[in-house]
Amino acid sequence: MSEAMLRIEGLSAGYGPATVLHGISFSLAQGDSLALLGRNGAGKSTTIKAIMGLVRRGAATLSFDGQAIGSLPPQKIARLGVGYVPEERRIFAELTVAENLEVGRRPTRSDAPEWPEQRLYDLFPELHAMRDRRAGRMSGGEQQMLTIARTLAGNPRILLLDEPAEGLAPVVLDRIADTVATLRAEGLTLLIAEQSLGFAAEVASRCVVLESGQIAHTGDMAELAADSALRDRLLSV
Amino acid sequence: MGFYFAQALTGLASASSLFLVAAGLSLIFGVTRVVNFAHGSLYMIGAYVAMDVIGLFGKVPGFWLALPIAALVSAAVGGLIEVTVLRRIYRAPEMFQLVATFAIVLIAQDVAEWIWGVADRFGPRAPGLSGVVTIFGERIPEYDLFLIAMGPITLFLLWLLFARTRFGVLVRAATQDREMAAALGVDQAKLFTAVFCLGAGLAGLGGAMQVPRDAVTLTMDLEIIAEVFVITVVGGMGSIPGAYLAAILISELNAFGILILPEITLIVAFAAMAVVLVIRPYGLLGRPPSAPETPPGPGMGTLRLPAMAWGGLFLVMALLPLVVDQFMTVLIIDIMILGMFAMSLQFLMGPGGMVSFGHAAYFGVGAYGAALLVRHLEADMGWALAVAPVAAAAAALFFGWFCVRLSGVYLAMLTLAAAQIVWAAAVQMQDFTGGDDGLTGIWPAKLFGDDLAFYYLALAFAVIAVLVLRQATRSPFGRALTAARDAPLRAEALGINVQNQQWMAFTLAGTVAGLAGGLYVFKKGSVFPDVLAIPQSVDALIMVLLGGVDVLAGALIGASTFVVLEDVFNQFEAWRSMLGGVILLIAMLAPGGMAGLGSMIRRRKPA
Repeated sequence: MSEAMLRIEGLSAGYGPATVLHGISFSLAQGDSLALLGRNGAGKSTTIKAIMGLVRRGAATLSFDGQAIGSLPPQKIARLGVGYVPEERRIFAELTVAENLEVGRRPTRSDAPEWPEQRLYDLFPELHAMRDRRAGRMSGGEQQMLTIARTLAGNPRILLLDEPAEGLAPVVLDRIADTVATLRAEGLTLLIAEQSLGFAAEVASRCVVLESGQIAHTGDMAELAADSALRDRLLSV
Repeated sequence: MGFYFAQALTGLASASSLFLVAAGLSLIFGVTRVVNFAHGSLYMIGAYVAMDVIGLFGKVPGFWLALPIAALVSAAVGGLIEVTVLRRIYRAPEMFQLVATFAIVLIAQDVAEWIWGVADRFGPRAPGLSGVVTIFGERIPEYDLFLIAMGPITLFLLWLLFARTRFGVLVRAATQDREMAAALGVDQAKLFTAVFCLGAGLAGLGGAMQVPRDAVTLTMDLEIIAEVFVITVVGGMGSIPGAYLAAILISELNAFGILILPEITLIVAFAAMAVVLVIRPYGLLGRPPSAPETPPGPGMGTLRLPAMAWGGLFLVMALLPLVVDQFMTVLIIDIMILGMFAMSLQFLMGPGGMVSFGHAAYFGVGAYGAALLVRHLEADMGWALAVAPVAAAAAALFFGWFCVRLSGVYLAMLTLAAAQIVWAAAVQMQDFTGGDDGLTGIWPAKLFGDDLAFYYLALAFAVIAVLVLRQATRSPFGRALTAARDAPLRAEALGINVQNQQWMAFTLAGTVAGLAGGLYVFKKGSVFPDVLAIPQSVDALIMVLLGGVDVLAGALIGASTFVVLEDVFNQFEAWRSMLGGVILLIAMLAPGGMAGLGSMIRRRKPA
């Protein structure tokens, strides 16, 4: 695993006085797609936010491409090529679709696929039709597309998706899953925190299951999806 | 007809400068969530720099160079302030930010006095625009027409900047969701500095534009800030078109109000603001904050001094005069009076969760109430001291009704505006209040004529104040108030009338402040409009800050420290800067105040 793109060792994190994550470790190589699974409150979102520098982190080894990111602020981490797709979308509601993409735009980089505006609109033609619409006036599914497109506009090397399937209608869900699968096929590295096993199985090859802020299981995504006993033990409510 | 037209144009011309300053303040608030008290200082710096440039280059081309140079200098100073001070306190509670920016006001006043001297300066008329044009038979200064045009031009340029440039898009994104913008790689630090420079530059330009109309003075910083607060609140915080509309509205009301009520024009502005805020609580074009207000941090506990400790403290206080000299006795009287004032503000801010920028209003109304009674009705001290808290309660009941309709910085800015009204009334109603000359010769009754007797009187009042405020905090009323502070919606759902609780708390805090004000008059023997002015309100904030907002006793610690510091610093010429420096240090290093230092150190330990 010396080739790890994102390496996490002994990560603890939390909010205010409460610690949610208790020393978890895993890593992703270039081109990997890993699903972070677990019940509500297991620490999936916290893991993603901790990587991004959005929550309080303990003294962990966090490195991206060999560079320590454990004490960097979010914007520096983003500028290294870490693309963050937040939970609950967090689009800039007062800005138009095109302006939202503009906020995400970063200079192109030699080591990551380029996402010029036209390519984003090719990926999500719906967005092209409403470029000048205020993002707050779009449906939940359209907002989710915009969130992904906005992050892609930064030409990221890795995509951190926080519960992308949450609250979406089934049709939209399929659409998003297809898109994420396409991105994976193109070689983008993916880390996906997800509640929905079906969605995760479609887009990830490996999985890490969290329980009360610790790793309960690491393995192959397809195996977990197939093993109902294991699934029940780890994920059923 | 022509006369009214001319008056309307005068109003529009005044609006331009106000709009520039207000737009800058609003812009900075929108992005950084900091209410920048020092904005008036940047305006003042712009005006002085413009005078210097005109002096250096002559009227032509000096005046036209002065506008951009003043804007640039203010922008640079603003950038410096942002990088050295504000950047360190973005996460601190509003009160710290406000007090820290006020510390900058203090330092800026010293620096301005040192560079430019105390004498007022009068600028030349603008070259090429010094004539008048006749419209409807009225002579309108050409420069006014220039000013009138500057408003919409600036509005348009700002609109272009924000609607059409990447910088503008990033600023608007950060205004809505800073954290998300950062997670997309937007460098907030640079963006905030840039916005601060832009806002400061607008203030500087506004100051330079006023040079041909008004005298340049060392007091113009605080004079404009109150008006600008009113404008940003009426227009809606963060809304630049709102600031323009509000600047016009308030300026026109001033222009015509002066015809109807020449003595109390500010009251017209306040009335307008009250009407707007009752109909639209977030201003003409403002929106309610999308994210919930910052939840109370871990420091906002209900730490309390046990009754025994209070008893011990008062016992020591009662015995102190037996061992200290007269100078100390008098100093401690000051501490007790200011301590009562600070405790009333602590009650408002701690359990009440309402930050007031204008608490001096109630201290001052108490002081003036007592003094006026003595002066005009020849009442004795007992009556005067009884009336002081009642008068303050009435004022707090009146202004509080408006204030509690809002929360957070909106509430705070409204309290400041209310205090400015009272201040203006005290200055302008000369026959009644003595105006700037104040009311003098208000001496205590013979019985309390000597320092020792007055000491025990003050102590008795302080004990009453502590008992009342402590009991109020612990009573069901206090619990409901705290619930309303921590979770207003849940408190409402439990059947607590949040606004009513806050209104009562506001009134109680005002009453105690008024009691302190009454004592203050008899201690000093006089009262001047200063007791109602912004620095007096900020003094109370500083005391609460020094002591820590969580504890009633903190206000006493803060008042003691403040009085001693002031006494020491007063010997130096640059005492304002020194006070400002201490405030900045505390705001940046010990946001829990001195009473909070202990718990802060405990919290530093890893979880």
